Amino acid sequence: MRKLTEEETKVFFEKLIKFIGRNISLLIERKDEAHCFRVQKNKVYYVNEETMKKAQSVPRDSLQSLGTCFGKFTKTGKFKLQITCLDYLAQYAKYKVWVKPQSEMSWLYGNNLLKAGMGRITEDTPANQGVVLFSMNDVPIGFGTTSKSTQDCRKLDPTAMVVYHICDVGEYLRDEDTLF
Amino acid sequence: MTGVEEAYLKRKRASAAAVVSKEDELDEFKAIFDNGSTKVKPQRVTDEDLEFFNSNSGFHSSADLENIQLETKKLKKIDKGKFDKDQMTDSEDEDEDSQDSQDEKEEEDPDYSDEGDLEEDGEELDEEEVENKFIENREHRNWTDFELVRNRLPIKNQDGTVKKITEIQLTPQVRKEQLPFEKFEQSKILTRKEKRELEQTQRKQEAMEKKRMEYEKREEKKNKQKQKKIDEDLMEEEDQDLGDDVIDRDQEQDDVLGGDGSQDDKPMSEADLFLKHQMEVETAKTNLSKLASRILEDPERNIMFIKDIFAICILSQDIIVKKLGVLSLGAVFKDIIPGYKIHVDKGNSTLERVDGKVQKVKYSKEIQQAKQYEAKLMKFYQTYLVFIENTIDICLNQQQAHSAAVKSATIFSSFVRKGEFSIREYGGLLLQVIKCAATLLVSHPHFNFRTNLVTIVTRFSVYRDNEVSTLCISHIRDLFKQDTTGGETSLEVIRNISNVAKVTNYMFDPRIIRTFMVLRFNDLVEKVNPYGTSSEEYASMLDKKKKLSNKERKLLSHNDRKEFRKEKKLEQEMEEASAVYSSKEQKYIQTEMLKSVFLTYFRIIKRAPHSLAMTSVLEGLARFSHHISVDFLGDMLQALSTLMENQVTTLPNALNASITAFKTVKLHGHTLNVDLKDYFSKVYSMLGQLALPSQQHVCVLALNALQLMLGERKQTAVERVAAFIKRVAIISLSTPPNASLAIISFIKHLFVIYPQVQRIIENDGTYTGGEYNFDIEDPDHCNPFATSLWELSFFYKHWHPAIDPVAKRTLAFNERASELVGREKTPPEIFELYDTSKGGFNPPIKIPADHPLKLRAKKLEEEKLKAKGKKLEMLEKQKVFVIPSSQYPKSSFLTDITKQVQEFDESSVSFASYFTELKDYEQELKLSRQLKRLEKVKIIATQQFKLKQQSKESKPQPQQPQQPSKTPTTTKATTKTTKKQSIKK
Repeated sequence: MRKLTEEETKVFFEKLIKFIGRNISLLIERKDEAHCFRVQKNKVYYVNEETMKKAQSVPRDSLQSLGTCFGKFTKTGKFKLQITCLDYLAQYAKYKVWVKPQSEMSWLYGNNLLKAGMGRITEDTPANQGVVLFSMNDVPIGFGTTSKSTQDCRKLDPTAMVVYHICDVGEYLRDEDTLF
Repeated sequence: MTGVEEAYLKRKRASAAAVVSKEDELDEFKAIFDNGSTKVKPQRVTDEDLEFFNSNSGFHSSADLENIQLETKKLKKIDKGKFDKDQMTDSEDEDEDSQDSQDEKEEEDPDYSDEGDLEEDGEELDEEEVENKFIENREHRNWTDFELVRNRLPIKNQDGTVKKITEIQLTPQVRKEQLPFEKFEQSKILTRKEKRELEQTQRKQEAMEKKRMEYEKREEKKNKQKQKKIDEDLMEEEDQDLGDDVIDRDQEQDDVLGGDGSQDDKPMSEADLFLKHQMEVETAKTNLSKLASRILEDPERNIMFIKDIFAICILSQDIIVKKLGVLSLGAVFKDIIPGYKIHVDKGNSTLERVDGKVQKVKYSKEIQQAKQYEAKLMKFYQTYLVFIENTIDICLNQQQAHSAAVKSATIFSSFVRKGEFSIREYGGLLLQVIKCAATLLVSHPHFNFRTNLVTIVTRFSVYRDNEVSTLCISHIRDLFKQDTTGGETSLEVIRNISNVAKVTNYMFDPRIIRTFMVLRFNDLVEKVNPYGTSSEEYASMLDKKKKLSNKERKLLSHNDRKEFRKEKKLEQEMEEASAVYSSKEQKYIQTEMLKSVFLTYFRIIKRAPHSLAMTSVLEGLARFSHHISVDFLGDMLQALSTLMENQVTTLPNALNASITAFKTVKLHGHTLNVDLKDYFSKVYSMLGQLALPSQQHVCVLALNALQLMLGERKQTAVERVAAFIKRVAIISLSTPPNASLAIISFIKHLFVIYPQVQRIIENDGTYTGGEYNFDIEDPDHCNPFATSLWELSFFYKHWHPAIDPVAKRTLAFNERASELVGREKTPPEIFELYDTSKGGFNPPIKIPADHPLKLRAKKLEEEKLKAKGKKLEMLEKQKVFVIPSSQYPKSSFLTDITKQVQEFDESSVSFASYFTELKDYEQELKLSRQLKRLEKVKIIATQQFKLKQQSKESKPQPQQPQQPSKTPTTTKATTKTTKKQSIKK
C-alpha cells in the first residue's frame, strides 16, 4: 500500500473530474473524517485514515483490500473506474441522467442508453461528459458518457444512443470473480 | 405698411433657419392661421399688435382677413388720438423722453426731501404740518427708496456740525422756500401715481365689464346666428358690430401695456406687480374658458374659435397664460375629436373648403358640412401638434442653452428678461405640453396623427425630469390597460419603447418595462418565438380571402361568379366599416405585440445584463413565459442560464428567472425532461437573503418559485428537497410570523409529495454520508439527512395563535397528512391572510373572557329581575352590590392563592419574628458602639486634663482658637471643645 505518485494522481483526478467536477474537493476534505487515496496492487482505494493506519501493519502481499475501491491503473498507465465507486460518484455527480423503468434492465445488462430510455437529464449537459445514471426513484445504477448535449438531445429520434456505457450495477453479478 | 414687408422677410428667414426665434415663431404661426388667404401678410409683432391680438380674440376669427386689416388701420388712428389725450392728463408712457425725465425726478426727489426732512428735525420745528406730510409721503414711498436713503444717512450729520458743501451753502431760508415746492412736486407725483393706478384698475374693471357685455352681445348674436346658417357673413357682421367695443378695449389695454413698459424703470411695488399679473392671468382664464365653452356648445359651427385660443396661447408673454392656453386647447380637442379616424381626401375636399363653391363631387348639404368641419378640425389638430412639437423643441433648446450658459458662468438674472422665461418655467411648460399630448393619445388613440403622439410620449418616458417621465409612463400604462384600437396603438408604443430603450443603451427607468406587465393577452395569442419569422398566417389569410381555389372557380357559373364578386366587395366594405376587430386581426396584433415585448426583453437580457431594468424584465418574462414557443425554448434557457451564472445578483432576479425557466419547461416538458440544476443551486445559495428584513417582500415570490421548482412534480431528488426544506426552516426562524407560517405549511406540503423526506424530522444518527454543511452552495451536497429539523420545535409554543397547530401537525409525521393538505390554503395564501405589514395584530387579539364574579353578578341580576318582576321599579332604584366575600370560596383563582399561602405559612419560618429579632440586635449594636466611643472620649479627656494641669504648672500656654463642635455626646459643652481637638490630634 502506498500513496499515489504525482503522475498517477493527475491521471486519476482527471478521470474523477469528468464525473464530479469541482466536488472532488469535498471528497478529499471531508468534515467528519479524514479520507485519503491509496494504491494497492494497481488498485486505488478510498480509505479513512484510521483504517489506513491499521492496514499499514499488514504486509503488502497479504493485503487483499481496504476501504472502497475506485478503480485500477492499466499497464499502459491509464485509469479505469470500477462500479464500486458508484456511491461516491452518485453523491457528487455534476450531471445526471435518469433512466426510465422499462430500459433499466437493458442498461443493467451492459447496453448503451437510447433516447427512448432517457427519463430526464440535467440541463446544460455537454456532449462527451461523464454522467451518473439513476433510476427514476433516484437509485444510482451506473455511469457512462454522453454522446450528445442536452440541446441536441431534444431533436434526436428515440433510437439514437444518448449515453455510452462505462459501468453498471449489473457488474456486481457479472464480474463477481474479478471485481474484488 | 413697412411692418408687413419686414415680417414677410422675417418669415422667410425663419423658415430657413433651423432654430426658430420666438418672434419668428409667432409670425410663422400667424402664417399658419392665415393660410389659405395669401392676401394679408402677417404684421410684424410689436407690443401693440400683441395686445391687439389678445383683445380681438373674438373678432379675429373670421376667415376673411381684409376686414382685419382695415380695422387695424382704423384702430391705429384712434389710438394715436387717444395717446395725445393721454399726454395731457397722464404721464405719457409712449414718449420715452418725458417719461425718463419724470423718472429721474422721481428718483431724485425722495433724496432731496429726505435731506430736508432731516434738517428740519434738527432745526425747524415750527413747520410741523409739512413734516407730517413728509412722514406720510415717506410711508407711501416704495421701501427700496427708503432703504436707499437710509444708506446715505450716515454721510450727513443730523446735528449740523459736519455738512456737505452743497448743504452748507443752502441757508435755512432758502431751504424753507424750496421745501414747500418740493413737497408740492412730490405730492403731485404721488397723486399722479395713485391716480394712474386707480384709473388702471378702474379701466380693468370696465374692460372686464365690457368684455362681459360683449360676450352677452355675442350670445345674442349667436341666437340670431342660429336663424341664419352661413357662418362667414355673420362673422363679418359681428366684427363690424363689435368694432367699437374692440377699439375701446384696445386702447385700454394699450394703457395697461404702457404701465408694463414703465414698470422696468419706475419702481413698482411687488404687491402691485403681483396683482397686475394676477389680473392678467384671470382675464386670460376667463377668455379661454369662454372660448372653450363656446366651441363645445356647437363644435361644428364654432370650431374657428380654436384660432383664438391659439392666438392667446402663442402671443401671450406670460408663461402661466401660455400653459393655460395649451392645456385648454388639449381639453377642447379631447372633447371634440370624434370617435373615428377622419379619412382625408387629398385635393378635392380642401379645394372645396377654400373656394367655398367649387364642387367636383356632389354631396348632400349635411355631408358637405360635416366634411368641411372634419377638414377644419384636422387642420387645427395638425397645427396643434406642430405647436406642441415646436414648443418641446424650444423648451429643450432653451434648457440646453441654459446649461451651456451656466457652464460659462453668466449671471442668471440676465436670462429672466422680458419675453424670456426662466429655465424652470420652460420645464413647467414642457410638462404641460407633454401632458396634453399624453392625454390626447390615451383618450383618442384611433385618431389621425397618432404616430406623432406616440413618439412624443415614448421619447419623454425616458426624460431625465422625473415628473415628465412619470407622467408619460402612467399614461402609457393607461393606454395599455384600455386600448380602444384593439392593440394597434399599443403595438406602436411597444415598438417605440424598444427603440427608445435601444437608444438609451438600456440604461433607463425600469418602470417603462414594467408597464408591459399591464398588457393582457387573450387565448387567441399563439406561442411566440421572438426571433422567428413573423406570423405569415395573417398575410396569407388576407390573400386567401380574396381568392378562390381554381377548382371552386371552375364549378361556378357565370352568374354565380358575378354574384360572388359582388358579395366579396360587399364583405370587404362591411369589414372596413365594422368597428369590431375580427378575431384573426386581433390574433395577429396580439401576437405581434407579444413578439415585440419578448424581443425587448431578450435584447436587454443579452445586450445589457447589468441594466437597471433587469428585475422588471425577469418579472415580465415570468409573467408571460407561458406564451413562449417550443422553438425558442432552447435559446431562451441558454440565455437565462448564462444570466444565472454571471449576472444575477439579487434574490428576486434569481427567483423570477427560475420561475420563467420552470414554467416554460413545464409547459413544453413533453419533448425532453430536463433537470434544471443550475437554477436549483442558484436559488438555494441565494435563499438565505430571505431572512433579511429588506427582502421580506420577496417572500411570496419565493414561495411561488419554490412551489414551482419542488412542489409541482415528484421528480426532484430527495436529498435536494431535504436540503431546501432544511434551509427554508432555518430561514423561518428569522422571518415575521406570517412568513414563518407560510414556510411551515410549505414544508408540510413537501412532506406529502415526498414522503421519504420525512425522515429529516427524526435523526437516528445512522446517516453516514458526512456532516450537514449549512454553508455550502450546492443543495445536493449538503447532507441534509445528517441533521434534523429542530427548527420546527421552536414553533411548538409560538405566541402566534395560528402557528402552533400547523407546526404540530407538520411534526406529527403521519400518513394522513396527505388527506389534510387538500383542504388547506396554499402557502402564499397563508402569507397574505396573516399579513401584518400594515400594522396591528392579525388575527386580532382575543378579548379575555369575563371574570367569574362579573358573570355571577349578571346572573344574579337577571334572576332577581325574573323573580321579582313586580318590584322592578324598586330594584332599579336599589343598585345591586355583589359582596366579594360571599363569592370568595367560589373563585378558583382566589382559592388557589389562599391555599398556596397557607401551605407556605405552614412550611416556612415566620419572617415576622425574624425581623423583630434583627431590629433588637441592631439597636443593641448601636448602643454598644456609642458606649465604646464615649469611653474613649472619656479616657482622652482625662489624659488631656492631666496634661493641661502639668503645663499650667510649668508655663501658661497661649490660648488656641477654639472650634465649635456638633457632636451629640452627652458630656458637658465646656469640656467638649478641648476633647474634640485632642481627638483630632
